[in-house]
Amino acid sequence: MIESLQLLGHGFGIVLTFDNLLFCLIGALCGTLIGVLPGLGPVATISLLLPATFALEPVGAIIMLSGIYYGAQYGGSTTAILVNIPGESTSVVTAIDGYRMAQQGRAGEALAIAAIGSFIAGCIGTLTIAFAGPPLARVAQSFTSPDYFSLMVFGLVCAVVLANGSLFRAVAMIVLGLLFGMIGMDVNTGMPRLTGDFIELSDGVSFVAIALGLFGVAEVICNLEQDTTRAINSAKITNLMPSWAILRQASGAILRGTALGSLMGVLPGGGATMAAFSSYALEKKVSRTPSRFGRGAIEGVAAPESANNAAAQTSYIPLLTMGLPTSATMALMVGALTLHGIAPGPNVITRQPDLFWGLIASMFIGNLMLIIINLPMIGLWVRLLRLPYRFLFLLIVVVSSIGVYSVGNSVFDIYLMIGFGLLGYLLRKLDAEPAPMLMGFVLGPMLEENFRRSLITGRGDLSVFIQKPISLAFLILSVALLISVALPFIRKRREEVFQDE
Amino acid sequence: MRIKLVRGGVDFWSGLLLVAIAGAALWYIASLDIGTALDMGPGYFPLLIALILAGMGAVLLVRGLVVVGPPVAPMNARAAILILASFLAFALLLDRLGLVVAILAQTLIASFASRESVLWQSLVFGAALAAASTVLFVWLLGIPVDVLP
Amino acid sequence: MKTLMAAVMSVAVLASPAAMAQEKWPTKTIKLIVPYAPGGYTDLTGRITARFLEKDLGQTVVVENKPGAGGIVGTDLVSKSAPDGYTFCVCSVGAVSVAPVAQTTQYNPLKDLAPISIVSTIPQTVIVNPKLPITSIPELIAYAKANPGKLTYGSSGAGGLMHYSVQLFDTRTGTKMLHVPFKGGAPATAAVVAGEVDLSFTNMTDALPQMEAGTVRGLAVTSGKRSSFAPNLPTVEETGVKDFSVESWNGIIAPPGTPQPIIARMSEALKKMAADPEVKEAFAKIGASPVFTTPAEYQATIAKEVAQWTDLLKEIKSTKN
Repeated sequence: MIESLQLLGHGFGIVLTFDNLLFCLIGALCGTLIGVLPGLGPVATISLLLPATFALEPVGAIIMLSGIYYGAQYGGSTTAILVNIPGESTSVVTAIDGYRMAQQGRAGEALAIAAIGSFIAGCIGTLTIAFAGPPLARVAQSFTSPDYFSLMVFGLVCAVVLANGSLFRAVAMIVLGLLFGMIGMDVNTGMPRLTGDFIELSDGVSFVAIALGLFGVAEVICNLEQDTTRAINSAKITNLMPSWAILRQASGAILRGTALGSLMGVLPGGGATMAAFSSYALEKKVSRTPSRFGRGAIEGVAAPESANNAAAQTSYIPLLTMGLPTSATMALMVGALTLHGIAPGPNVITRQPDLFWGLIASMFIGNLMLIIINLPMIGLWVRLLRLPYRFLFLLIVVVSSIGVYSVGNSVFDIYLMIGFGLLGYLLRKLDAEPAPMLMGFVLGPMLEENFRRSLITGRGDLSVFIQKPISLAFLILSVALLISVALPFIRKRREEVFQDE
Repeated sequence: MRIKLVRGGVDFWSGLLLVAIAGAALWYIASLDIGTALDMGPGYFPLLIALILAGMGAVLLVRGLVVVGPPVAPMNARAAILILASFLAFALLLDRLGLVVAILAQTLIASFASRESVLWQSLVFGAALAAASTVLFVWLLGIPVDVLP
Repeated sequence: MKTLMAAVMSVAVLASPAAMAQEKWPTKTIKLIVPYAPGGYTDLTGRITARFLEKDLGQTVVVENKPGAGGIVGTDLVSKSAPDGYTFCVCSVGAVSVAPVAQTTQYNPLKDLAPISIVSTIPQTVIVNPKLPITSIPELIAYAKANPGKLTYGSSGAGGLMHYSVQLFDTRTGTKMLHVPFKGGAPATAAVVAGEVDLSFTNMTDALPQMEAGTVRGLAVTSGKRSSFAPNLPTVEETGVKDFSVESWNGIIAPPGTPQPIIARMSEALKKMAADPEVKEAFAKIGASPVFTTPAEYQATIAKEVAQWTDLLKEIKSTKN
């Protein structure tokens, strides 16, 4: 502990040079910018800036590229809250209550809580890397395919929890999402499935195309349909900054979200997404007034935003302690490190202490910079909502087009977005919620992959799922959560039946 | 008096939509190897999911016929068609005539989707968007597209 | 239209080998299509190459990532691009030599691509989980034969090089191991570290740091020659397995019908690149070695590999039936 503190001090010594502070700031600014622009993600941006870091010192380069990554998590919530466009899977749930708050004139409050939550989560997440990195990495290592499968099952149950309307329809939406998730090449046989001869679909439907279509495009169409579009942002904008009461209300959600995010961020695949979804589900479960969720509950913004930021930090743990990337962004970091002659592996902490502790120290400073950048920007963002809708929607459609194109540098994704825009519009008219569907879409492929892999490594024995303690625990949790969700419905039915008699 | 066949519009139409999607998926899945539960082929999971979806869709569909429920909210095809067409125009023009033309075409088409639009204002705004996008996306962020034809 | 253009172009080239317009090549930005996501091994190779070509050709060279379907999407795109000398592919063995055999691709690697030069190679490394009592290839073969079907290996997905090279190993040695596909090479390596699978034929870049830390045990490299990055590892052939040489390469490939003078100029530039000390250092950092081949040698390599995987597939099919 003491030793870690000393090393952390050493890390601050490395970051507090003019150059490295500058790189940190550039990274944070870039990250905020691309986070705000829907479609542009950290993966695309980091890869674009990668060549520019050739000339830099390795530590400076990694500090800057990391800044882009966690900076994007700050920016990501902005479009979700302001215009209902979640640019990444982690901000899908933020859009549910965040956008509602914006419609009620509370955009400033939502943005501020998202920023504050992100800051607290970012700092705690960074502390977690510094003091609990190696043990957490070992926990992540002990997760095998059956455990992931059960974790994904748990995630799907969480998706049911976040639905507001009928349980049956929420499940139907998840199943629909699962089906869209099946599109693409089958990992086990290399066979294309449901791709309809489009080679572009062999890696599956791009998340950005489906999210922008279901949320953004459908939202624009629905708004334009109304007789007077002024109604949307005519709501009087109240406080820009949250009151103490709101802060107190959100504080529990921020801390719980941070804890969940810090733990789940370590897991490969959907760690951060799972953290965001499950933290929302958790808040809805612990809340005394779950009916507020989906109607502008501040906890519904605070928890997932804290969770995804904490997860963004702790997703560095497997990379830095084991050399194993757990997401596309982390794989890119491996590329960046190797380009600079540092092979990320289990020896990085001992062989590259400057890099390890310098990066950790830079994360504290970067998070501080981000909150300083982001809080004053809220005023600017809220002013954007005052832009007459006849201009705002043009801005949204153009930026969405470019954003979705930039994901794979291909117009095919724009066609996909058009298709999902139409579907999203129809679903909305039919009162169906898109968030559970997206959750099914994200988790479906991982669910199948891990299920089939479990059967291969378990030689076709289904009991692997209950023999492994982690897997068993998640399955029990899933059943318990499902019962707790279903019970009120069943009870209500009963009461209705009794009333009829 | 007209006999009302569909009693719950939302249930009926969402059921129909789900059944239609599941049906299309099943048609594709037919060509895939299914395998068994313990030795799954590429078609196993999709088949399972498509069948569940079809089943749930059918339940909703029948419910819509039997149980009285809310009707579907009125739709206005104009906004939907114009907005989707504007994206299509952008996609078709981007590779052929470059970013600027694509943005101008998209804003032109999209502006008709809003009743409040003033055409010249939309076009000026579109031009400003084209300029800003060129600077931000192409010059700063380096997205590989042609700016002009 | 494009084929017509290509035909006209090639006729023009045949008619006047020193066509005027091409003497000045390049006069505008050159695109290097990388058919994989940014940050990966091919992407890094592409960026190193782009940097050198910019200097040598005196024109801007941009890298464009067109990922999808294990490189097939981008490779297909290049095979259909205008052969005007301004679009090239940083292709890789997977999409060029393996995928057309394992899956259906719209391009025939021997006809629809104009290879110029391999620029870098990287051997695969046979790694096993260190808890296994296996320290060499003969021990691996003996263990696999004593416990048929018990050993599991991780791959980057069905039909990829990591999958096929183990299948080739199986047919050459008469062993049978159980395939466990992952989504990409890194998760497969992670699974060997965690012990979820027993072994994997992983590329050197991923394997090296894990071998150094002792989290996996390296047994051999799959290439024909030993690798300078792990000189103490024997090649699989050295350990007695006959006719087994698999190597991952990246190379520059042009659309078919690209004028001969342009290909010659490009080949010349790539020859210089292979000898450039700065490039050598940059490649060393990603665990690769710079290579130069003539277009004819490159074509022959691809033909040999395609034949090898075609034969393998036939062999596997015949043993199944």
